[in-house]
This record gives sequence, C-alpha cells and structure tokens, in this order.
Amino acid sequence: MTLRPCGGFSLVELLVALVVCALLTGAVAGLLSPARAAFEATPAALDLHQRARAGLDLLTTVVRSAGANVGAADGLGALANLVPVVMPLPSPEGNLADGEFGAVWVMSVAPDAAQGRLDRDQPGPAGALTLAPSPACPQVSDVCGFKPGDFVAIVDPLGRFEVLAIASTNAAGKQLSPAAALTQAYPAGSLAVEAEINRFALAVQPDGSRSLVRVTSAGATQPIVDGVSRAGFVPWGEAAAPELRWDGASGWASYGPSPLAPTLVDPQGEFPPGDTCVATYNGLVPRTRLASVGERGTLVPFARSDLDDGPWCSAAVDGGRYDADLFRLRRLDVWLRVEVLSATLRGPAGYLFNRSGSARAPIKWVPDLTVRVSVALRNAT
Amino acid sequence: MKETGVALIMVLLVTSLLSTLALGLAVMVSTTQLAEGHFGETMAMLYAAEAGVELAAHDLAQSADWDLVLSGSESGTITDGPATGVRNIPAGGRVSLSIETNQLNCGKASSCTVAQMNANSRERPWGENNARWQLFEYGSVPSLNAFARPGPWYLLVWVADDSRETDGNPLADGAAADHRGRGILRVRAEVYGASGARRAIEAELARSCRSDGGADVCQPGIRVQSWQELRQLIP
Repeated sequence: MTLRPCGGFSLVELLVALVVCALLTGAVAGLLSPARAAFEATPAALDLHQRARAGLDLLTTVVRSAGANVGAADGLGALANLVPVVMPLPSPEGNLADGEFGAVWVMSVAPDAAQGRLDRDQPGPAGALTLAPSPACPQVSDVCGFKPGDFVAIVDPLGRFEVLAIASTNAAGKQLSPAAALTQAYPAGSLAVEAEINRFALAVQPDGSRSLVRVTSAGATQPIVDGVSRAGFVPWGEAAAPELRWDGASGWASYGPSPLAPTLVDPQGEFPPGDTCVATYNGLVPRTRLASVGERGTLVPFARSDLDDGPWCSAAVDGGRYDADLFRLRRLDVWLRVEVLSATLRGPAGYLFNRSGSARAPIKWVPDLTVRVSVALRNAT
Repeated sequence: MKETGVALIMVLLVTSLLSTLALGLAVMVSTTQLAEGHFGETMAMLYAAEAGVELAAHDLAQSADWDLVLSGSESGTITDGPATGVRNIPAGGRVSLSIETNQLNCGKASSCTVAQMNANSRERPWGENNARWQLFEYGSVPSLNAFARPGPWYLLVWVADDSRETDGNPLADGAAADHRGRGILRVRAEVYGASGARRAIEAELARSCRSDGGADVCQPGIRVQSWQELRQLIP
C-alpha cells in the first residue's frame, strides 16, 4: 500500500486561521453587544413614553372636567363656586419645592348625576337627609337617583361640605341614611350630588419604586401607572380678589360662593350673620376676605404657603378645613417624572436618574423622562 | 474536503441574526409611533369638539329665540344638508346623523317615539323633561373655514334643553323669563375620526337675561357654566 501525501495545514496556517477567527468573532461580538443593549433599551424607552402618556392623559382628563355643574345647584351657584373642585395637597414625603404640590384631590360629577336639595334641616349629624321631591330630583325609582353604597358630596350655602356614603335609602320618604355620622347637621337647601372624588398621589411599592395611584372615596388605592419616580402639581389662580354684590334680594360673586343675606344666621355659629369664609359684611355691603395679589384676569402661581394661610372654610376634608384661596384656581400644571422599571437600565442616581440602578455603561442607560402639561380648569371660571 | 462557502454561511447567519434584531426594533418603534400618532390625533379631536362647542356658543349668541333652536327650526351656520342621512368621515368610514341622534334621544338606532324619549332611566332621569337632542351644527371638519388646522374628521353638535326645567316641554326654553332654567341650554359636540375614534364634550351654555315688560333683555355673549368630557359615556 502506498501512502499518499495528505494536503493538511501547517502549524503556522492553523495559528493564522485561529487568529483571524478570533478577530472575526470579536468583531461580531462587538457588534452584537450594542445591538443587544439597544434591543433592551429601546422597548424600555418606548414603555417609558407610554406610561408617561397614560398617566398624564388620565390626570388631565379628570382635572379638565372637574366640578361640572348640576341642575340641583341652581340658586346656590355653580358647583365649582360652592366647593373647591381641585385641591392640590402637599407631598407626603415633603420633597418638593414650596411652589409645588405632590398630590391632588379632584371632585367629578357626571351629567345627570343623582342629585337633590335638602327639603328640611337634617335632624342631627347622624340623621337621615330628606330630599325635596322637585324640581332637581331625577325621576327614577331610587331616591333622586341615589342608591345604597353611592358617595354623595353634601354642600351647604356657606361652602361647608363633606363626602358621605349612603347606607340605605327610603324611597317613600325620599330619605338617605348616611353610613356614618357627619361632622355637622346640614340645613334645608343644602345640595346633595353623586360625586366621584379621588386623590391622586404617588405610593411607594415594596420594591422601592413609586406608582401613581388613585385613592377613591371608599379608601381603595388603585394603581394607575408604575415607575413614576416623582410628580408635582403647580396651581395657578386668579390674582384679583372676587367682586361681591348684594342687591337686597340675591348675591353675586365673580367667583366663589355668592354673598348670603346679611341677616342669615349661620346654624353652626362659625360666622356672624351673613358672613361666609369668603365674604364679610360692612353694613349691607359685602366685602371679600381674600387679598388681591395682581391685576384682574391675570393668573399667578400659588405656593403651598399661599394655600395654607386662610381664610379658612370648614369641610370634612384635609383636616376639616380648606383655604378659601382654592376658589381662585384656574389652571393646574402637572409634571410626572417616569423611570424605567428594570434596574439594569438605570445608571447612578443624579441628574439622569432619580433612583440608582446597576447599569454602568452609558450605552445601556435609559434616563428618567419628565413630562409636563398645563390643564385649564374648564368649570372654574 | 472543500471548506469554501463556510464564511458565506457564517456571514448569512450573523446578518440574519442582526436583521431580526433590527426588524424587531423597527416594528416596535413604528408601532409606538403609530400609537403616539393616534394619541396625538385623538387629542386634536378633543380640541375640535371643544371648538364645536365654541361655534355653537357663537351661533346661539346670535339667535334671538332659543325655542326655535330646541324645536329644530333653527340650526347653526355650519350644516351640510338636511340633519338626516349618512355622511362620510374624511379619514374613512361613515356616520349616520339619524342613528346618532336617535341613540342620544332613546338609546335606539331607529326613530324614537315620544314615550321612549320620556321614559325614565339612569341616563335620562327627567321624564317628560328629558333632553330632546337636535342637531345644530354638523359638517366635515376640512370643509369648515373656522378651523386653522382641520383634521380629517366629522363634527356633530347637538343642543337640548337643560334638566332644570319642569315645564314638561323640552322643545321650549322655559315658559317665562323668570322660569327656572330659562336661558340655559345643553350642547354636546362629538368628533368622529378614523377607525371608530370619537371624542365628545358636553357643556351647559347660559345667557344672562332679564324680563322687561314680558320680553327678554339679554346681555351679549354666552357663558359656559359647565363643561365635561364624556369619555366613558360614549356608546
């Protein structure tokens, strides 16, 4: 048998081939790594925009329509002039500048909502609310549309209000029984309206992130958008104090509650006859308690200190009172700072990241996104 | 053994891998762009609906007798024919003026009887004072000169009497000048876009009038005393 020479590779050829392969593999790996980083970062960045959009859209929709009027408020004034329908609240963490708030309270009312006016004085804070049969009482089998379990905002002509849950109804007597005693007995003529009242704020999650949540009247906390590292609300309000008039028969205010009859006695004894938290009488001429801080028709930003110095109106919200300057609110600037949920896409805490992550290479970073919008309160005019 | 072509296979494999990654990203980005585009368009539709309310307020301010408006005898300045039939939405699709009006008045696509319109429900709880929506302004947005940046949508604006009145006649705006609800109308503006997109606003418009020898003397202008977006209430 004859052995034929085999056409193999020499050692040098093999080494050269190995080096070339290693270089090619390295080059491909070098291409793949940024591609993989982009593949991880791009969906996260898209998700960031999506969450920011969803959060802002929900907030603006609710704030824009807050306090739509109802027919039953006729004679008292528009609902947004009886109660503040948007109330910025301080951040529980206190990490915002004085001009910013970290939460917001919003009252919404649907068109043709259940509504009515008290036919007679409530017998006591725990007593049943008796509604007048007409004209502002919807003609449905429930009491003016109210059902057990509904949440009702009850408002008196002086701007005092609170939110109650209905325990039971009595259709024959047109009565609503509150689930718990109110803070005061409401007088005849007070407005009762089915309202959706929510507080929007950030809530810390078990993993340390924050979510934008909605806290309902029933106390349920409903998540809206995850990964919102910070949120702020800047209220803008009418600079001039309201104009008030009393013509001997009825009152008129350019905003806020209309002046009451100068002889009307406050059943709670909180104010002198005819006075409210917004107006006080000088003889037969109503004077505003609010100070002007600029020209009529101009808007100025309100800091927390501006909405925490009175004059005070009583209400069973936010510590039992609210600042009458809240009636000035015309616009709310909202901003959200949204972060990626995966720590592997966040870099060190600082300008780009509110919360630090584990990514060290900037190519993998997806910086926090801050979005802002200004919302005009359509019903507060 | 010939090894010619291995490099080609390697190149093809790597190229296809990278192409798949790139294609996935491109699809994701374009989908998001589409979603953002739709979001932006629906925001613009909301502002178009708000503009519809403003147009109606402008025309209602010019109207001397709101009873004629509520009865359907008088319509706004923007109409494109009779207030019935089917119209094309410029972005695609069609909208039936009759069906949409009937849906508002009795929740049905077919014509409403008086009994159906007076029937009480959670949505229409005012009995014989239930709103009788009348088309007031309607037209294709691109054909309207009033819009600076018209989108490919169709605008419908209805008017109806407010729920305060107890006169039992939703086709008249209060019996007397001092009647409760006199000088107040409800306006509903809806904008219809592509693929069933809709945005709607309902507002209450009021004018300030006083009775002078039995006749209304009204101040100029209209006040929007209630405004609400109807996102959850569109059928």
